[in-house]
Amino acid sequence: MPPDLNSIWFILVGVLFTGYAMLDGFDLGIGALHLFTRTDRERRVMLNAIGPVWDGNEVWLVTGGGALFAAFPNVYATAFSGFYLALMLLLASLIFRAVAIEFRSKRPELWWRRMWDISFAGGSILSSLLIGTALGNLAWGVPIDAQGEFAGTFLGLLTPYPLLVGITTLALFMMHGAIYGVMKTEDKLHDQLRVWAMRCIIFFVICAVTLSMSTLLYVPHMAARVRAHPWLFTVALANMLAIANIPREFHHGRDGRAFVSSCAAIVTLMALFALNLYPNMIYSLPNPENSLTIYNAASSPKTLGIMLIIACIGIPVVVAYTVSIYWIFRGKVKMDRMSY
Amino acid sequence: MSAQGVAKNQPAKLAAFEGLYQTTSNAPLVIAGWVDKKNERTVGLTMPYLLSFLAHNDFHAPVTGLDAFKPADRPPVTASFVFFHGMVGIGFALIGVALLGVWCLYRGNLNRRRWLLWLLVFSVLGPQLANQLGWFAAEVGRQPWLVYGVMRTPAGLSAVVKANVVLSSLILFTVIYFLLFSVFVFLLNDKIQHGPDDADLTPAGKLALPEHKTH
Repeated sequence: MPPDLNSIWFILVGVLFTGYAMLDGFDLGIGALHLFTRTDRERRVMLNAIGPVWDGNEVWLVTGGGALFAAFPNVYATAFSGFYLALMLLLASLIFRAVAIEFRSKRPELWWRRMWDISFAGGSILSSLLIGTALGNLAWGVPIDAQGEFAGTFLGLLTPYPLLVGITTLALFMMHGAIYGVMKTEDKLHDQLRVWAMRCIIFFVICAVTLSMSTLLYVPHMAARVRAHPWLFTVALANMLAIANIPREFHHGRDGRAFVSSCAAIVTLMALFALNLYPNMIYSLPNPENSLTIYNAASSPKTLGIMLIIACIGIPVVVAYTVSIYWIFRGKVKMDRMSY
Repeated sequence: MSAQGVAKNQPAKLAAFEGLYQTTSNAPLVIAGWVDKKNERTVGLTMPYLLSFLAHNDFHAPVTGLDAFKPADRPPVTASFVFFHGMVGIGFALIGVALLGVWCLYRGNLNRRRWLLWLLVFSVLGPQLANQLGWFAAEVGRQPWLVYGVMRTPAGLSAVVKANVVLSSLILFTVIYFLLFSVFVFLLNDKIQHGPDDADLTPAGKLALPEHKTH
């Protein structure tokens, strides 16, 4: 049976947000690690490692939001109204980290650079936490009334399980960012980042194990599909193998492959999340019958069909420019007069 | 082109931009003026036939006025009119200043006209201002519709996000944008004071292309 239009759009929205996590994940991670670097030169090398690509990476968030708006407007409305303050905070922290990249090296004064360093690191850390916490709330379930509107409060979103997902996301991004940094740097900084990457892997694995245990214990619906279809457990297995492969690739000096492994870890995590959420998009707790699904919250089939044609034209273009940007700026960071 | 799009898709907006109350053939374009709301007319300097031409490519075509719409379906006329004419006025003023500058440059006396140089410094704000006014005009002119002719603005309000929450986010972003604007002006001034690097210049004082670098 071929998947229906609604399912195709569920997958497409998932692909866009996964692309965002994979791409912006590493530059948010670089930001979270920023204050650990000691010298000004190291900080600039780190900034220039993400310099040509970070803004393109953030476009995936915008596209994901746009696709969500067009394909599942009710989900968009409920999520953006329900998570209003959290998303305003996310926007503010993304703004601060973005302008910090641009402004930091424009003046030589110590206070100036320190101010933007803190703004860059703080914005990156807060963004990662907020994105993860939002995801955690979707997994746990949020109160939805019979009209499909959010019926909770901002503080009600900050419960232990979502916060654990937030911290896990931060750990994941820090790991991903450190590995990206290893790939883009040389000499002393390169060796140092490798040590950090190993520490971040440990941090992430501890978080991931805790999260898996608490999901199985307290959020059984987020494991239901994998329980019903045991062959899907291979996705979870692939995730752990991808993580385990990172130190192995480091050992052989294959930094690029370590980064690919880290990407695979993110893709499998998002796949697990989506597999267990499907066909819900916002799971309603305590009244699961109010959940917003890919059917009761979608646009008309005509809209979904037209947009699928547009997506088929647009996606190859996006993939082409993304690949060419990364190809042009491949290799280690070289500083010059035009650097950040 | 743009006027024809508005005339076709959002006629009430076009009528409000021009303060056109009665549906009129050979409609004139208002260059500058004011809206007399009480008597439902617009007074000012006009160019005959031009609005008909801009909206329908025909000097005599009738242009829909606000009388075609129920009072409840009309946008705020004065605001739309002022914002729109502000935008257009700034646009033409900038073209004028630019032409004047080019003329003086051609005559070789631009550097001696300090008032013109100062005017050019402040005209940097012009496009930004026109941009904002144009945005206001477009958004005020579409009222009371959120989706033109389909969905009214009050129907689009979130049921969950209350006014005080919207206000707090508005204050947050006003503060952020004010801060960023201050930093922007500070850095821009810094860059202007610094001037171009010697390495970027050729002896003729023009910006160098990489292959023409002389040192």
